[in-house]
Amino acid sequence: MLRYVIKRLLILIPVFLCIAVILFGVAKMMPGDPVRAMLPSNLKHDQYQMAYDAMYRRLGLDKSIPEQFFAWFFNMLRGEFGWSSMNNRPVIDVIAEPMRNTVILNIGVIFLQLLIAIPVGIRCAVKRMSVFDNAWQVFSLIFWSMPSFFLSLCFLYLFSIHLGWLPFGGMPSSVTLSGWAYFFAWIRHMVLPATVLALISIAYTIRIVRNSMIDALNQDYIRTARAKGLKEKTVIYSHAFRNALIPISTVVVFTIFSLFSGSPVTESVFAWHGIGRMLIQAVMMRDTMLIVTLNAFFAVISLVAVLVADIVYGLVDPRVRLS
Amino acid sequence: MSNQQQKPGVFASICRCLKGLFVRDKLSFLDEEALQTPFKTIAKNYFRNKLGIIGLIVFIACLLFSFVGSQFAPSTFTYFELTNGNLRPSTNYLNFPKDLDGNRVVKIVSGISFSFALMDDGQLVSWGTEPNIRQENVSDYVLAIPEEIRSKRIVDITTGGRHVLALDDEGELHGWGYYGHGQTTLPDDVRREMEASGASIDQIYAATMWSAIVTSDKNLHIWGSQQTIQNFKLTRAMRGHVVKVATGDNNMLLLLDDGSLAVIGDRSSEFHGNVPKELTEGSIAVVDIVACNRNALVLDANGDIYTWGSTMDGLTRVPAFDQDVRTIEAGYKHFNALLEDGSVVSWGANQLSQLDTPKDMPALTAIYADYFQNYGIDEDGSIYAWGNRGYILGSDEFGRDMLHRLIHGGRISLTVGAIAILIEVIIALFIGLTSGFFGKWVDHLLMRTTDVFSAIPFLPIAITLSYAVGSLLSEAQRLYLIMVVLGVLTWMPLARMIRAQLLVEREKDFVLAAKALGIRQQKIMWRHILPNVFNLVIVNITLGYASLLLYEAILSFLGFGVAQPTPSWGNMLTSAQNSAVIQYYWWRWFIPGLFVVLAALSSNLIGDALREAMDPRENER
Repeated sequence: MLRYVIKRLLILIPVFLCIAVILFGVAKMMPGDPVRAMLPSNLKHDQYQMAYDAMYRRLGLDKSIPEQFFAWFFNMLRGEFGWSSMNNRPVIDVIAEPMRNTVILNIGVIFLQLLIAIPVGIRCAVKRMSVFDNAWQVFSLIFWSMPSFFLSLCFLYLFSIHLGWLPFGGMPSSVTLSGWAYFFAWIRHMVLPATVLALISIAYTIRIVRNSMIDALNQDYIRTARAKGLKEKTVIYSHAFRNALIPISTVVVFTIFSLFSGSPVTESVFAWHGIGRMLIQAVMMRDTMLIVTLNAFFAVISLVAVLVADIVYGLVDPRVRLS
Repeated sequence: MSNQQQKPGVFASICRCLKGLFVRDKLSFLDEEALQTPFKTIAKNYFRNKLGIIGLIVFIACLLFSFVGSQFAPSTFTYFELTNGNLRPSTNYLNFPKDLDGNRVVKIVSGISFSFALMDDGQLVSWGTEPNIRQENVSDYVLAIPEEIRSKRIVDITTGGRHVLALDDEGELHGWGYYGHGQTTLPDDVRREMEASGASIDQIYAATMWSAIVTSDKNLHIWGSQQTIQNFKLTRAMRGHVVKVATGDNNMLLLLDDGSLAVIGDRSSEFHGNVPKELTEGSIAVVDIVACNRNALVLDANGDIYTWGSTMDGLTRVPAFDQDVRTIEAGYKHFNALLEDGSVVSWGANQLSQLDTPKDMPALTAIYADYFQNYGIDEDGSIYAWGNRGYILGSDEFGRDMLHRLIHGGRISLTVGAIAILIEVIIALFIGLTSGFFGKWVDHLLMRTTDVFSAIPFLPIAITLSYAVGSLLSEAQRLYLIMVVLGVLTWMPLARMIRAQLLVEREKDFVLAAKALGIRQQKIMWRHILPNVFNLVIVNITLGYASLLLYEAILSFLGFGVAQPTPSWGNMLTSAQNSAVIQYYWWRWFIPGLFVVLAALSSNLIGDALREAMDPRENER
């Protein structure tokens, strides 16, 4: 098992390097002068020129491109992500709060997603072609084809404008509220974005759980188990579900890691101050270092997710780790 | 015995084979089933699936709407009319009440989407569509005639774009409708000045953003949007000498009591600058003055017409008349002339079909034109209406027709999706097949490349890329950029699937059987393995198309996709990031969003049905 994990880890290193090169290339392509963005605009001409040159050297722009790349890369490994020109603060400080907001939002989403989608998916597979199954199939098809912003807009229109039950996007303010009131304000602001995100991911997860369960239920060993006279519950949960676990575990792992990746669209529509919305703002404001850091962060998350998924594969399926 | 009869003899079967070479005999039911091509089987299976049929119908409807529709819909989808912004879906602008008696109509005036008729008993009749939205608590609706006015006897009425002014027989001015610049109420200083001089209101005028009156002592008072009326500067020569006024949105043409003309307002406009010399001197006997938004027209006693102003829309090209002109009416961008024999000649802009006079119209006795509507009344008192009927799906903030933009936007969205999926499939096929065929280090290298691309977070990088590269490109090039970005960032799962399918199929028994029969390696690949892979590709084209449509919509919605003014279903929704748009102008986000959902949903349905049709085992699902 350890060998398997190490092998997987070693494969990741060149992949990560390639991604870093791509991200660096994108950052270099960003329009605008990174030096000018960092300088105050009220300097006199010659002063400005001096400050410009100093900053140019400080950012290492006088070095060759490969040198710049490695300087940036190792700085990033050390946890120095550079300076956010949009907020005029180090990137690491800027990211902290949106990250917290995104995680809080996503915890709710993931709870809903896993608690609803897995049992429903299993039941759909067991009661294939029943009314229950058909209803959920239609549900998942509709929400699977629904762009998140459209669903968000419909929800905003219905629940916060028309019915007035929930706030029109935004975040609760910690200045005016405190204690339980603050907590409930959080919940009220979270309901709509969390529901939108959850509906779409539930639709997607149900399809996967259902399909892998059906595949498992069609196997010969299920017939054998039934022929032995096992209880239907045992057949489904210990024979079929265990074998369906490989694709399902991938989904669960990716879901759990999506905790940290914000959703730019939904967060923008609901003005939820999360990491996805921050990315869009950063792009709008041409904050190169922030963009690169966020993208690198998302890439690392997905790489780690792949790694963990592979390890979980190995855990649930001995064939994988032996081959 | 019976067994022997059923078995054909060797000779008989040879005969049948030989016969089969020359004569194609009718096949029995079983033979026919066996000879059905795979394509036929798939089609048959497909059309057994109700959801698949629905999906196909909806998708074809979307295609027809966008591609056939764009052949018929005028390609003026970028044509905008700022005054007509945010009009709700409706086509009843010209639907005057059927029982409206033309003989009793004194005057018909129109705003951008509504009209009022003043009857000879001083009552008002209104029709059309409400152009305003209900703000908090206060109503600025224009169509509902306020209670206190119903009992009054109205002697004159005029309309701005979204508001109405009415003068009753006691000289009292009433205004209602959009009041954002205070244009519906007479300002206190004007009222005080009138009280001081004992003057009464003589004439009333209104434009899109402001209102004006001419008092009985020939003074002109203007109020409304400060930004516009600060340009309206009256000189001493004009004060107390104004007889008549013709209004554009930014300029006014004044007829003074000495017979001369003067223009006030925006000095940079051609309306202000190009006034013919002879008119300002007062040597010509002016009979009537009218004005479009940016053009003025003067009719003199000899029946000659003088016109100047913006040269756009052919407004200054007056057609030759063979008869005398009885009256001239001006709309927002067109002129109508009623000739002596009762026929109408119109010229100017026709984007909103302002010039399309009804064909079988008899001789008219009166015409009214305002904004984009025209009304004519004949001797029998029947009323004819032509001009802008309305926008069936509403208009956006620039007054562009949503229907036209949806049609052309659909063309763009569906094309972008199609080309992106083409790029995606080509890359995926290349990578997947190469790695499956060659295996070994090629496979390793390509699969690691796939890993790299899969680890790239799609939406963030797509946003960053289309912004970083997009700012260097022109609008048309950006369209290609979106296709490439979408294609290049989405091929990985398909490539993996193709490779996996190739490996699975290669190990299957029928391949072994084919090898045992001595069929060439190449033929096994093309005839036995690849068809099974291509089935997978076709299913994934339809499913992937749906998600690419969504991605395009999402990118454009965030403002990183197709650039304005080219429409796409996604970028028509961009403005919905504004809360006022979500709240008040539902048609601007709901309808384009619905089209995206329908196209994506139908594409998904087709993909699902195809998968089931191609692989009968999937029916188990």
